[in-house]
Order: sequence, then structure tokens, then C-alpha cells
Amino acid sequence: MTRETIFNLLLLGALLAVPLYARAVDEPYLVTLATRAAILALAGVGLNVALGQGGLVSLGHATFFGLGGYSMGVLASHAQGYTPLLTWPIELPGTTSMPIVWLVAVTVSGLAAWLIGALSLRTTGVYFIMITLAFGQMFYYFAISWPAYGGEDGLSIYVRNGFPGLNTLDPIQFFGIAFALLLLTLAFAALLARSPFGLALNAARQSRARVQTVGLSPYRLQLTAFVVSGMITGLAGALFADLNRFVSPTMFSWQTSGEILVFVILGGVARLCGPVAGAVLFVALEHLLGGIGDYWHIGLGVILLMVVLFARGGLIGLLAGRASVHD
Amino acid sequence: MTPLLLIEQCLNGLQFGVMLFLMAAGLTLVFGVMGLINLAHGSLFMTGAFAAAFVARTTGSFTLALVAALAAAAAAGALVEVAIIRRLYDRPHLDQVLATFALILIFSEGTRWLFGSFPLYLDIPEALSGTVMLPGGIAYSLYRLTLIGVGLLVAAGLYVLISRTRLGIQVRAGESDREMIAALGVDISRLYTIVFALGAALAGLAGALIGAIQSVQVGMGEPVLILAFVVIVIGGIGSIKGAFIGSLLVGLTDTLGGVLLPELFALFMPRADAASAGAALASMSIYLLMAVVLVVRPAGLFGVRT
Amino acid sequence: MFFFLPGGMGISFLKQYDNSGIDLPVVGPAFSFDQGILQAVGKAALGVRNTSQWNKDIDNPTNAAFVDSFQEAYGRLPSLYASQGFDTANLLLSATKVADVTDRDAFRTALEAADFDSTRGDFAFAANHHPIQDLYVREVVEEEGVYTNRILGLALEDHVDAYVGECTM
Repeated sequence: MTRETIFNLLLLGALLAVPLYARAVDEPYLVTLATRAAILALAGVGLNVALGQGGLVSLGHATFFGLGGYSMGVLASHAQGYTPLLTWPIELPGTTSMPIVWLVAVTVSGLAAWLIGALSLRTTGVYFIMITLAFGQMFYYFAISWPAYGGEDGLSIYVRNGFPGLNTLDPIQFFGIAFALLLLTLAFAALLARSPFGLALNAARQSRARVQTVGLSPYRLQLTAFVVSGMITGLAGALFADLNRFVSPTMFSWQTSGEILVFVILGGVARLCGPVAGAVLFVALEHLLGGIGDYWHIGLGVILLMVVLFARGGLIGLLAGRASVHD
Repeated sequence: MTPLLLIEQCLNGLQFGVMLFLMAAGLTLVFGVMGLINLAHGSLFMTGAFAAAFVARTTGSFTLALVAALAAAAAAGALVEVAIIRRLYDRPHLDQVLATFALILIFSEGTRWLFGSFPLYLDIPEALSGTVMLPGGIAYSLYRLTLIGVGLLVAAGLYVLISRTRLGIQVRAGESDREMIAALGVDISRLYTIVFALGAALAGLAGALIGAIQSVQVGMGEPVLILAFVVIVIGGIGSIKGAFIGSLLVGLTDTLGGVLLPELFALFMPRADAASAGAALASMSIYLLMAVVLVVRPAGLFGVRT
Repeated sequence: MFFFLPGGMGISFLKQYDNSGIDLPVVGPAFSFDQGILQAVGKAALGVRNTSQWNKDIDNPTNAAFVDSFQEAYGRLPSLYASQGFDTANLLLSATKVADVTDRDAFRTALEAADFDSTRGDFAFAANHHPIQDLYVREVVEEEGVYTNRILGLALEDHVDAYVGECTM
């Protein structure tokens, strides 16, 4: 077992232990905090597929986060208002059933990622960063100006979505759902990295020309990675909206994109559990530093700066050394 | 939609464009010469505005406030360059994005710590307030005309700087081949610091000038930063001419879009829907413009493919 | 001319409006003219009438004590948002005195009773949990170098939300 695997297991164990402990001492707030970390980690795992494995620096991943959130929001608002989503050609009611909401969120984000990726991947380098940012901003402004679903005020959801067989209003059960999804996605990402697709993607990240000479298309590889990445982040968005029972255009903002990027980097880009470490660290810092002072963002900025300048492998890089199947 | 209103909005768009140019010029210079994406440029805009507000409050002179804005932003820029930016030149763009993102956090919270969370007071000087009668019977704000004038002057000054001075030669050479001019004996570190500080000063000037007609508050730089990025991508990174054309395009599209699109939609939609649909499309319009430009010309309008 | 733009947007609008040469009188809700942004707008806001449910010169002992203690603690005048926060905290405290927060129905009843001293004077909730309130007209003035609001008169007394009859609560 490599050091990294041990660290990953410890990290996931800690993330599981916190809500169990919180339940024992009757502190439901900590359970919510852990759920938040798990969901943000999921969003980061999504970004990591594009960024860490694909080498695509996307400053617009909040687009998919927001699309997932709004999918959930739109469906729930129609369900709680008892108005159908569509009346023609078929009558489509809203829904608050989690599996359906997740399916819709993943499909919508996947489609958006396919369209955005198809256009953006024609550019490289800083232009790619900028165009992903631009798409994020487009959705952001669209969400602000669309009054049907709250516009700038956002959309409040009065019901927590239901999962068959579980009481999702119970914080620990909702955490269980989020954690289970996180584990499944991590397993998927690990398999992806080891699959022929993942290896080809990795090669495309390192040297486009060489990949082309062996007959593979870097564009197709990267587009597929981008779509998968968008779908995972979309799922995280739907869960996030469910946790807060509130969707707002801020989920589309470039600051949110930046934050997701920050978790991934803080934890260790291209490491499997990098986003988990980053999200846990971020939520912990927010909770602990926020209690100390009003200006804790300065601390976060300094830490991020230090990580970028001196600890490029992120937290996992620091604690678990160099990756074994990488660079 | 009277012709008078249209002309006024064109002037507004022009004013918005030249102010964007002040931001975009610095950004594109820094990227062109040093290959660095600087997300903290918006924070330098904010620094200029706050410095101006502070000096205007204590001395009562707008001129001094502008000088202070230039000086404070240039100093902040130079300091940040020497301390942090210097280490990022050889790093991949991702690292630059993250480090400068961290700088935004530090600048914003630092400003909030120094000046508090409430917006500051900064007003147009008496000499420039009020309106002026333009040919055609348009009463247009004197201050905004001044802004247009200042912007065009800066554009002309930058043109002269880049094409006629020694510094300009070094900048242009640095954009083409960094290693070569270092090998030829030019002090690269000093050149970079000067270019960065120049860009910062322009951003600070823009901050002070805009702050007088908008609000001086923490976070005022970020929306302008995004627009400036759109401008330099449209214009072509590294090209000042591109930044100028791009900023005018963006300024006019955004302003005219906001005015004309609701009118357009009102032709076939009820008024209330037209207003919101028009507003939505107007705010998305510049990003659509950027996406279209990138698909057609992936390096921007005047960009150099390296 | 009526507008509603809170925060930074209101500051931009007022400054630009003042400079535009139009001299239609401006009116708006208190959120565009609250204590926090008035200093940033300066003389462009002088004379503007706005409506609010609270102002620092409402004459009752709770309000006077609130304004004084706020100034002492923070060195500035409170805004209407601060008064809302203060009232909400006192409302919650009044409810905790008679009911336990885990007993939802009892706590809700205690909140509905609204038995606390409000900075607005008398305070009560209507059947739809919207307050029955007095609304004042205020004018922006300058007092001792600080821009603030001064009550001109009462606009609506014991005003109930227009939809209270339709509420199914």
C-alpha cells in the first residue's frame, strides 16, 4: 500500500467519522458541515477529471455546478407548486425524487459540457481558460435575468428531495447519501484513470502531438473528459442545492468556479483524493478561522499563495510524497 | 428610441470603452511581455479608487486624489511584482491564475480591514460637474466627456510610448523574444517591474475616475476585470491596438445592447417580458461576442499566434 | 421619479442622476437611502424623500437606548438593517422565555405573540405573520457633518399587508 493510499483511506475515514461523532454528541451542525465538505469534494472530483487527468484548466466549472443546482431547483419548484413543467407535447410534472433529479442534473450538465467543450476545445492555453470563464458568465447573467425561477433573488425550495427508503431530512442520512455518491465517484475516477481512455488522456495532456501520431484524437479524448467532468460537477450542484434548499445565480459565478479550482489545488491536483482533502481543508478553515476573525479570507489567500508558490503538490503532495502513477 | 438618445448612448458606450481600455491595456501588456495572467488587476483598480477617495476626503482636491491613485496603484503593483509575481513567470498558467486569485482575496480583505465594509465617498470635482451642450441639442455630462478625453489621451500616449521610446522598443522586443533581449543585456527584472507598475497605474487611474461616478467599495474591481479579460481576448492578447479596438467594441456592445435589445424584443413581446429578456441577452452579449470571435479567429482580432 | 437600487448600485445611480441635470424629485424606499450608503453618496442625496418602517428618531425609550448604545459600541449611527437585527434578536429572546425551541408549536405561538419591546414602538404580527406596522416618510438631511434621515411624518399607520385576507396560514 502506498503512502498515498493510506492517506486517502485515513482522509475518507475522518470525513465519515466526523458526522458519526457529531451524532453521538448531538451537534447536527457538524453533520451539515461534513455534508457540505463531501458535496464540494464531489464537485472537485469532477473538475479533477478535466484538470488533473485532462490538463484542461477550466475557470467555468461553476456552469455545471449551477446547472445541476438549477435542474434540482426547477423540478422541485414545479413539484411544490403543483404546476407541470411542460404541458405540450406531454405533461411533465415536477419531481422531488432524488434519483430522477440526479439523472436530469447529470444529463443537463453533460449536454452543456458537450456544447461548451466542443466550442472551447478549439482553443488552447489562456484562451481556453477565458472562454470557459465566458460561458460561466453567460449562464450567470442569464440566471440573474430570468425571473421565472427567482432571478437575482434565487429560488427557495421548501422540500428536501426524497430517496426511496431513507428519511432524507435526517442530517446523518443525507450525509450518508452524499458520502456514498462521493465514494462511488472516486471509484469511478480511479478506474477511469487506469483505463485505456484514462491513459490516453494523460498522454494527451503531456504531449498532444505524440498522441496524434499514434492515431488518437486529443480533441475527442479531451471532449469526453470534459463531458464526464461536467456531469460529475452537475451532480454535486444538485446535491448542494438540496443541502441548502436554495438555488441562486451565485452558483454560476466565476468566484464559485475559482473556489472549486482552489479546493482541487489545495488538496493536490491530479491526486485521486486531492479534491476531498482540499474541500475538507477549506470547510475546516472556513469554520475555524471564521470564528477567529472577520477577515479570515486573508488567511485563506495567504495559505493558497503559499501552496501555489512552495507546495505545488497540495496537501496530499506534502503528506504523501510524489504520486506513483504520474509525471 | 430617439436619435438623441441613441447618440447619447453611443457616447456612453465610448466612455465605457475607453475606461475599459485603461484596464485592458495594462492587462494585455503584462500578458504580452511577461506571459502572465494577472487576476489581481481588478484589485489594483480598487486600490486606485480607495486611494483617491481617501486623499480626496483629507485634502479636498480631486487632482491630488488622481495623483495619489496613480502613485498608490503603481506602488502596489511594483511591490506585488517584486514579492510574488516575479516567481510566477515560468510557471504554468494554472499556477498564475491561482496565485493571483489568492492575491484578490488578500487585497479585498486587506482593504476591508483598512477602510471598513461601507463604501467610501468620492465625487466629481465642481469644475467638471454639470452638463455641456453638444451640437444637436444634447446635454451630456461634462465629466463623462472628460473621461473620453482622458482615455483617448492615454491611448495616444501609450502609442507614442510603445512605438517611439526606448522603453517601448524593449517592450516590443520582450513580447517577441524574452530570452533574446535578456541575452542582449537589457535588465529584464527592471523592465518587468516597470511594465507591471505601468499597467497597475493605468488600472488605478481608471479606478479613481470611475469611482467618482460609481461607488468605491470592496469588490468593485472584479466585474471590470472580467470585462477587461473579454476585451483582451477579443482584441488579441499582447496587442495594445487590439485592446483599444476590443474595448471600444465591448463598451459599445454592452451599452447599446442594454438599450436596444429590450426595444427590439418589445416589437413582438409584451413590455415586461421584453425588458427582462432584453436585459438577459444584453448582459450575455459581450460573452457571445467573445465566443464568436474566438471560434472565427482563435487568437483574437489582432492576436499573434505564438 | 421612483427607484429602488440598494447598495453600490444606488450610490452610482444617485451620483449620476445628480450630475445629469434632470431635476425631477427623487423618491424611493429606505433601502436605497440607508445609513450605510448615505455617506458615500454625499450631497447628491440631500432632500430626497424615502419611506421606511424605522428611523433613529422614532420617539420611544427602546429606540433611544438602542441608538445610543449602538453609537457607543460602533462609533456610527445604526441603519435600519441594524434595527431589524436588534428587534429580531429580542423577539427570539422573548419567545425563549416562554417556550422551549424544540417544542415547535409552543415556540411558534410564542413568536406570534411578539411580546417584546421593539425599536418601532408597538409591534404585532398579523394573521399571515407579516407585521402590522407604521410607515414613515423621511428626508435625507445633514446633521453635524453626517448624512442621515429625519422623519417628516407618518405615511401609513398600523398598516396591514394587502394579502392578509388571502393567506391560508
